[in-house]
Amino acid sequence: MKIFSQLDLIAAHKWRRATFTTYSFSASFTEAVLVEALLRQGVSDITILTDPLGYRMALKERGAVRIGREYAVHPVAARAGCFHPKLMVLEADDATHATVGSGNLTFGGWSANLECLVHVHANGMALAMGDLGKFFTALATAQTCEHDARALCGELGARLSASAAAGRDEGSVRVLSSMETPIAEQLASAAKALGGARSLTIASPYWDAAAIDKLADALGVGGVEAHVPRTRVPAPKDMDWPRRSAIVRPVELNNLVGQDEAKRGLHAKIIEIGCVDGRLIMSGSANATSAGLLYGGAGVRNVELCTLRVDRRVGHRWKFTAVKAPPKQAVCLEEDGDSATDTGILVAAHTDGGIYGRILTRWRAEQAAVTMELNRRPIDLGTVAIKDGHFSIPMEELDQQAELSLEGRIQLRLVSGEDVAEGFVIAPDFGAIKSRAGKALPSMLAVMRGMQTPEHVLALMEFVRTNPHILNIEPVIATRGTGSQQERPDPLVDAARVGTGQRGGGEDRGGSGDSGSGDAGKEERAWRQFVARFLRSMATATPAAEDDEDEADRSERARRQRAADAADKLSLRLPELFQKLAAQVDNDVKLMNVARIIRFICVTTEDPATESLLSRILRLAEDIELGGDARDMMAWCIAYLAAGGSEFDAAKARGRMLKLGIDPDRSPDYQLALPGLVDFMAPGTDALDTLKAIQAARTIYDDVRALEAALEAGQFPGSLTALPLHEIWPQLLDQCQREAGKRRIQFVDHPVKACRRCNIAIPDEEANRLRSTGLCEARCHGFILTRNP
Amino acid sequence: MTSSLAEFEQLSRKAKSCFIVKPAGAGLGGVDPLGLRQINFDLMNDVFPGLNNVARYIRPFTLVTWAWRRTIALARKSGEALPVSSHEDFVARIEVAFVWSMLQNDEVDVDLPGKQVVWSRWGAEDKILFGDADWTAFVKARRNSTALTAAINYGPGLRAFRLLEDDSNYAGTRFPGEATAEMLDAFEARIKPLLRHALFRERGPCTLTRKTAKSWTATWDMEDLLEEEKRAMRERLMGARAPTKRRGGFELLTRAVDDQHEADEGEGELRPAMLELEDAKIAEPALHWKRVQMRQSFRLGLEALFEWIIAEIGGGTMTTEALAAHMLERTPPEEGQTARPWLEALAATAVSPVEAMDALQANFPNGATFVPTALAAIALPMLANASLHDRSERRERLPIALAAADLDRIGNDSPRQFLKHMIENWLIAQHTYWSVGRGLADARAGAKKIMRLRLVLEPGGWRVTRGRGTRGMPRPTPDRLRTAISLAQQCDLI
Repeated sequence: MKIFSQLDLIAAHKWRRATFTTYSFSASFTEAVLVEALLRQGVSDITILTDPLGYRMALKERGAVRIGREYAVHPVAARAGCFHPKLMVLEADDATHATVGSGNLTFGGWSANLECLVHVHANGMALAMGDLGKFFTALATAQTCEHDARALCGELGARLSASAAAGRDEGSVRVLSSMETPIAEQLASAAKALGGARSLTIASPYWDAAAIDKLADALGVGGVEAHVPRTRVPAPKDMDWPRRSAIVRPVELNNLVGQDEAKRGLHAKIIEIGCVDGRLIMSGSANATSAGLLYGGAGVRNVELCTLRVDRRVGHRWKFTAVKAPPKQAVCLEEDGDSATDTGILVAAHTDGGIYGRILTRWRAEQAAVTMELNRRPIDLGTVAIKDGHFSIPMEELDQQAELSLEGRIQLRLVSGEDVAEGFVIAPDFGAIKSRAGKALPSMLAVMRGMQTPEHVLALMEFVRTNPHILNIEPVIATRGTGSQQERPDPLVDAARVGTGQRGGGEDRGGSGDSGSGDAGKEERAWRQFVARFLRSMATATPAAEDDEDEADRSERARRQRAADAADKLSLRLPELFQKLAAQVDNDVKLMNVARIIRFICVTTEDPATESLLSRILRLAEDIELGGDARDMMAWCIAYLAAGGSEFDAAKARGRMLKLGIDPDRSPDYQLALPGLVDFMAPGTDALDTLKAIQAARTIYDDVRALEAALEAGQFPGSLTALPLHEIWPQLLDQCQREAGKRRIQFVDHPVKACRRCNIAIPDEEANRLRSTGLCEARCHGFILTRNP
Repeated sequence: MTSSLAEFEQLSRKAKSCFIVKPAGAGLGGVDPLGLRQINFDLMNDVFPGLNNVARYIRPFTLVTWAWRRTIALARKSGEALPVSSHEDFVARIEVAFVWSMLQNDEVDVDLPGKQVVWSRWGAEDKILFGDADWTAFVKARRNSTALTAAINYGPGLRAFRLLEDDSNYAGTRFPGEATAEMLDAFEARIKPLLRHALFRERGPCTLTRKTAKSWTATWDMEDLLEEEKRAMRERLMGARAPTKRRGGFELLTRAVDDQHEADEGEGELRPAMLELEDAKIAEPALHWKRVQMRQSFRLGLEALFEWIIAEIGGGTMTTEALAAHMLERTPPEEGQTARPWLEALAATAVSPVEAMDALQANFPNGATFVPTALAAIALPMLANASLHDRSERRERLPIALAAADLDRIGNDSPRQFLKHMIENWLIAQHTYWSVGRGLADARAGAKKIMRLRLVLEPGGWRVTRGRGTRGMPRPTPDRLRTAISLAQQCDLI
């Protein structure tokens, strides 16, 4: 037998959609290997249908957090057996391919075990593709299975049938499903069509003698060659070998004992039926057991899916060697395919109104205690009523869980006496979010999980650039990047300006982009909520790129290189992005979001332009009306700039605050602190200490206010510190001490260019003095003092 | 090589039988298997901010700072506007010349990052030719890896000590920070005889011979520091230019040294000694140091148990229940004992987190004693006063407080229940989360496939994805103490 790599098939084309069916299911392996491989091909629509056993396994793998977000998992409960097919369907606009095999979505099924499959496509196997279409169509309406993926199965069935109709068939492969008739009956029928059976050879990990005898009887053969694998997977007790059958002969199939194959535990299920006019080879999910072979149609137990290949060359058969029957297995497996279940399963969805769910397995009680597990921590939600398996948990019960997020993994557990049911809570709105976020979604989720890399930051910069409408969304706060190998930017350096804070002209370039738009309604609400959470995460994200100081893994070098490449691109694109965002700022919500975005980029990538960008944000703030939150945020920015400057000047910082209408003596809200900036701009500095120093500093504007208050109270302030140093203080003091002189002193909020009393323009020299020093002397009406810079 | 879809179609049409599935393979790799490390780094930043475990010598700091001053000065003098890469190239030449020169001294084992690369490239050569295409490619390749200025070498220290500043207007361009002139002038005076060489004056191609490099060894020897360099470093470690936390960290270190005998000034002696100092003046750094070591113990204990689990599972599968039972066989609780008192008894066997870590390494892989030792290393920090917890907000990295909250919730359950929770949530789920997350990030970036996932669930229980199994006893992440001691010794602080 030849070797086939499913991962290579995935890598061979740009697929759009992938659907898998499996019995057992390792979510961690699937995420690490399959989802990883599919993401490389740009597949974002991934669906897995699994038996409840696999669903329960996924519930146990709590570190697999992408279920319900980056791929969907639907449990399919076969009423009288198990959901056992192992299928992969890959769809693209121009191609549909499938593999039908024996391997589950587990490490064993894809790596460790000896598994077999048949590759099906419409270019020569249209009938088989059509059979797959029928299988999913039947599954969509099957009363023998309980599941919530009926619409999905129906649509997939229709697409597969359409693909088959457009294809061609060479008459060699069909797909058999137990949903129609028992597999054994279909084999007998096919053998009859090929002139009748002459031999029967089987390799299977699990057996029961009755099934073998009945299959041989149906085919009309007197003996069965049964493969004895050199390495076995654990089987249920007494099911590792058909010892009770009198017609079985132990053999070793030569094509299953090659150097590599012999080391892998046999999990493949293959049957060769030698016929008069050729041979049939069946492979797939069905074990050599009664549940696998003998039941089907209305009486189906296990849902099985196999391929039947017709080889019309006469006389060809597998070669084998007679061997001894294997000893009984020391280690037995209690489950695979035929066992009962312990814990029931449920499916649930989280929408605006709360959580709505349904128990798919047997359930008797009318109410149950509910526990929600959010990011691995249990939360007691009290009691819920259950009717016909359905239940709902109103939003009020979840109020304390405002963090019930789209990015995390949520499980529910219902308990009533001995009845227990568990399942995932999915977010149906996530589809809309996926389509709105597009390629930026993984990067947004990475930020929410605190796992962003410079490549993610780069992707998010592009997203923000092309979706400036998100600037108007208030975050929820209480109170491929490098493949193109773009060259690193290498701008010319004017050495005379290095370290001077000046730059050469012409580097800033304006950018352009489309503004986003959205429809009203539920999807829009979900999107805005998602963006709000994203902005909140952006506001607090810390560098996720790990310190590699004890890095021992060579593979990490490439990661570092990619991060460095992305950081280079970031430096190049950041000025353009800032320019574009700055042009959007016309209110303080946008200003704060720009500050959050710039903070996020600078802190997570340690961009050297941080200081100058922060200064520019403060300049933007001068032109808009600031609310309390915005003033607090700008206060923090001023403190960071003061702490990071070459010479700490508390008075200057205080002056900047006054200029923006910020009360420097009031401590700003820590929630608006834009964390991380100070660590980067002024390592080791405590921002609170800086704020205290600013609060302790006195500016000339403080003195102006003190003087104004004192004069109004008919007093003279005794503790002026800045005004007395001013060059015209003696003259001002003289006026203050005389009642008539007091009338020649004007107080204004900000520097003016004309006298407020007579509207005569102040000479330029004096206007400049007022702007730069806080007071001047107007010849018309005396002194003008400004309360703010 | 990946086949095309048409080739796959042809292969399947021609087939006369089914295929055998090729095992899904990927390059193996992955460090920090539970994703806990970043919190440890965060805590180290509270004691020795700006330090790492590589940048242990003062002279490279001086050299790189001076090299940047030199390249900017030369450009100013000639009135040239040069690309950033030209300045980087100039600095790289001086760095490589320095490393190569140091390597000429057979009597000293030079401890400099990038020395292997320099040695493998020019170890047997009689000269280095700067400025050709090979050199340019080399500079580009080493920028983020073996360069002294790279983020994993002296880069963070240069920035944190404010020896070099980034010019925000010219990304990638650096200039000397405040209060560096005296140090740089002195260094320049020291190497004045070298400055005649084209390496320090020109940007075009130039050659450095082995003989010349060897003759420079004594001039810029790393051990022969100038008083100005020492003073500049002292200022930045414990003086006026040291931020509060770094100053506190070095005060703690120097106090510990003062209390030790001269023979006990090694890293191994000072680490626990710094835990034992009780003085209100150094209470803050002492608390931070305790948090570092508590977290180190917690992380090492968990990673050690993770490796033990992998070894225990071996080539088969094992359920959570079985793993918990195997652990309990090695640490049997008393009749009816619940998880909390059982853990308290285990934690009582460890005097300090440093001792807990030492014991853990000494007991690996002794099956009988290893499990209780590892559990003690985990329990000690978890049961310690909350002020000693890491207090991290990085929930996905399992802060101690989160683990302690779990224990509060399930502490009255049986030890078996606690162990099951720990195995599934603190070990395997953490491992899965980080392994998968990093893999998917690689996928999105189109990077090489690396299989980091080492444990998966099969119907029969947990299974190891790699034949080689355990990697052996994990090492605690270096806590920068070695660097702190080295720098403090070089600048005569201790």
